[in-house]
Amino acid sequence: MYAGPILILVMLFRLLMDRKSSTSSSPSVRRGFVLAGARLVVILLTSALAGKWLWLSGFLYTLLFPSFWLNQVTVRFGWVKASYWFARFSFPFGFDESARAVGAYYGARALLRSPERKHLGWIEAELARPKVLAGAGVVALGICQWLRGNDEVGKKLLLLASRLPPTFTGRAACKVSRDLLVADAAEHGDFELVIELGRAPRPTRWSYVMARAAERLLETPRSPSKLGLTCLFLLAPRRIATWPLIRRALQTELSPFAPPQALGLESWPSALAHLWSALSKPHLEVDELRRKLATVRNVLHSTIHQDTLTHRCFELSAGSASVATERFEAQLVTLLVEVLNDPKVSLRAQLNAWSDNYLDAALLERREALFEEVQVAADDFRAKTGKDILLDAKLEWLAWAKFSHLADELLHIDPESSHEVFEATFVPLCNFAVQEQNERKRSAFAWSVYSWLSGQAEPGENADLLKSNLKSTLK
Amino acid sequence: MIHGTGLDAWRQNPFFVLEVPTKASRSEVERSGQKLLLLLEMGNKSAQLCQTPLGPIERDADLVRGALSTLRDPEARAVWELWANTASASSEQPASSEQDAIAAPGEAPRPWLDARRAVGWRR
Repeated sequence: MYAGPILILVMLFRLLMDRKSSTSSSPSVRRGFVLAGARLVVILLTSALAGKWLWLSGFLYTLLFPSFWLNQVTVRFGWVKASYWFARFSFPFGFDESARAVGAYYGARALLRSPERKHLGWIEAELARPKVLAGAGVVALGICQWLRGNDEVGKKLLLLASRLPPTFTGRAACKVSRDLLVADAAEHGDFELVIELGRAPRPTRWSYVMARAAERLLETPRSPSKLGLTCLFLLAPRRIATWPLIRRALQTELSPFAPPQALGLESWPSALAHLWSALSKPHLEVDELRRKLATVRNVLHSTIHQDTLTHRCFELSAGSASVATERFEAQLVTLLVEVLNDPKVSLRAQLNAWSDNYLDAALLERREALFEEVQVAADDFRAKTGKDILLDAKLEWLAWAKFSHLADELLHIDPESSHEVFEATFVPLCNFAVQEQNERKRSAFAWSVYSWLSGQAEPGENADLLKSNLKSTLK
Repeated sequence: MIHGTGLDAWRQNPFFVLEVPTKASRSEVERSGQKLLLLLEMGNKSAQLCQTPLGPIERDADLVRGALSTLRDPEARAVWELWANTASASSEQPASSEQDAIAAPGEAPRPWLDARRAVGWRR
């Protein structure tokens, strides 16, 4: 008898909150208190009216503590629309965003578990409607991009969301993004990234135990003992699913030192076959690849091989062996550049400008191309500043994710280019972020930009300005 | 010169496409290419797939013509001979029973292929 009016009351309240949050990004603490107070009023009022009806208490419990039903039922069973609408009208705690964004976040998570992708476009359309997107919205956008096959941008969005401060992203959204990134890195065999993510600030229990297991697998100096890892594992969630990896980590015997691997004297066919095997993995091991390339170079330039090549070039009337060697090396560098450009391949290599390894020649080419792309992307932000172009929050986050992906890859390849990158991007990015913060109230977006810029800034006037800008976003 | 990009270019080596050894004479190369073109024109299924030391590739008339054209240039042929002189390599992922095996000393740890499923991702 009272269920109808109560439901209407809750829905009206949700719509009111949604309307307010889509035009501003108020601090989550204040919003949380308002929401909690309103919920308390509703539960006291209805308890007094409902009296003995237990079913009504259950109904209220569902409304007041929706996270359990969302996580354990609608998301778990992959019910996309149910997750979206339930989250939108029940507004679980820990989120400071428009109800649409929170709904899209749960909908996107349900999509991950759903065997079908038919609601992907619908979730993306819902994400384009809020004027402001923060943690949960960015996680939802990242998942959608990932499911579309745009892995690089999707992962970068999840990473950006996981780095946002608690003001902009709730614990739940941060946890989901972190765990997805860790799982993806482990699946690609990129255990260095697993450690980086699991040891970053605000780790989750699962990502932390994964990082510690990865440390044992890689036999790093900080590897935990068997007992330590077992204790961490017992305290972490998903124990059954994670056991195969933990077992592998526990079986790994830590050796005091790893002897350097000498370059073997291989035949040319075997050197090439080993290079192929090293290159055809989804996650390339830098040391292994450098070793294989050094072997190829040694065999190619060996006297025996050069004599054979000279003889063959003479038979074919193909000029000198040195020309053939140079052409082969140029083709090999081109191949490596193309492999580096492949978004499905991950390689965490740093440029060594003094090395004669083919990989460094390819990395140098990649660095030049990336620097140009970063400059073009920064110019795009400059072009949008000061003009009355209102792009929706989703497109701005996508542009920022693409930019930061390029810039971070460039800085990883060549960390010494940090100052150069900062000089080329500071003015356009900072001006754009100020505009986003002041005129469009997109504080989370501005925080992300300021935070990235302050990571590259050298101590001085600009660093101080960025610090004060960062503080202003949190007010 | 290069028909595909990256590793595909390597796999689509003209010698692999035409299925001739690197020591083959010019006439042998031409004969093999013309025979393959004829078979492809007739829609022969076996001619459309080619086994190489680096894995199978799909073959079409354009690829065969490109390979013939490349090998007519002696300087390009010398370079492609270098690429073609490779031993058989396997790029396949380890079988599921081998996934949990510990990597050999000095070898990078194997990927954990069930990681996404662990966090409930069906993708």
